[in-house]
Amino acid sequence: MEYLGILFASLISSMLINNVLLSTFLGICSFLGVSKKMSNVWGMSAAVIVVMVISTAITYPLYFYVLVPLGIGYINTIAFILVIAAVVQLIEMLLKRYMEGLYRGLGVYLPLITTNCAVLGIALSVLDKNYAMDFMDALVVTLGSALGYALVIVSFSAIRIKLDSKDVPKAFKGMPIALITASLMSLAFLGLGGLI
Amino acid sequence: MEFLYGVLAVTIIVVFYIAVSYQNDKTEVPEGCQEAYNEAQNCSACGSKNSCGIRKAIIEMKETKL
Repeated sequence: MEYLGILFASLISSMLINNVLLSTFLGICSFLGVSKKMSNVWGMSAAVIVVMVISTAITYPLYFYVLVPLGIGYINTIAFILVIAAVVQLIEMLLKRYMEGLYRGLGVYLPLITTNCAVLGIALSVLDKNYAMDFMDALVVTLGSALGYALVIVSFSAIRIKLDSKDVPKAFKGMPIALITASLMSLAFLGLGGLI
Repeated sequence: MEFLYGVLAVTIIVVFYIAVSYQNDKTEVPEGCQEAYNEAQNCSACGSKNSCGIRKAIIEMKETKL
């Protein structure tokens, strides 16, 4: 029961307190680039959740059961980049071939995730025992981070859509007001620091 | 010996990546998904439009006249 409590705390912490977008500033390019349309945001969020969890499920055992015993843990960054890129390509190919409906909703965003630093950042972070204590905790932290990504990008997109219809000064139109909005959201999320 | 293990591990992963990537490139986007695919690639975060892929970005950089 205590273990479940720790996992729940990990989930909430990685989703709200150490938010991957607003606290660690990973995955910012897709955050700014895809958030103009709400329809894109849902598909992107779903794709990020799937890819992040599958990537951690592969990279975590790869590091602790292959790279470290062979004494080559230092190549983890290179190995993870390649593994994540390969996994994304593999998922995309399988969706294209066998699940057209799922590909239309989620798979079309996969090429944008191949180089998403949030996926690599989380895969590397969970290797730290202070961040995730075991494999299950690593998966929960990853899921929480992905859900945090989805929560923030959906909220941000909703604000951007509202801002499009407002009378924003010319100098602030477009990316400047988007960046100011993102910084204010980041400050707001700092307030959740004392939650756990 | 550790160095050889490292080279071997990276080689295996690179070969796996190339094989999967080649197969994925050969698989066509389903016809019904083409419009959704083009719309999804319309990301404006950086100068590389239509894809985050290095190869397409290089092609686009060559085509772009400054």
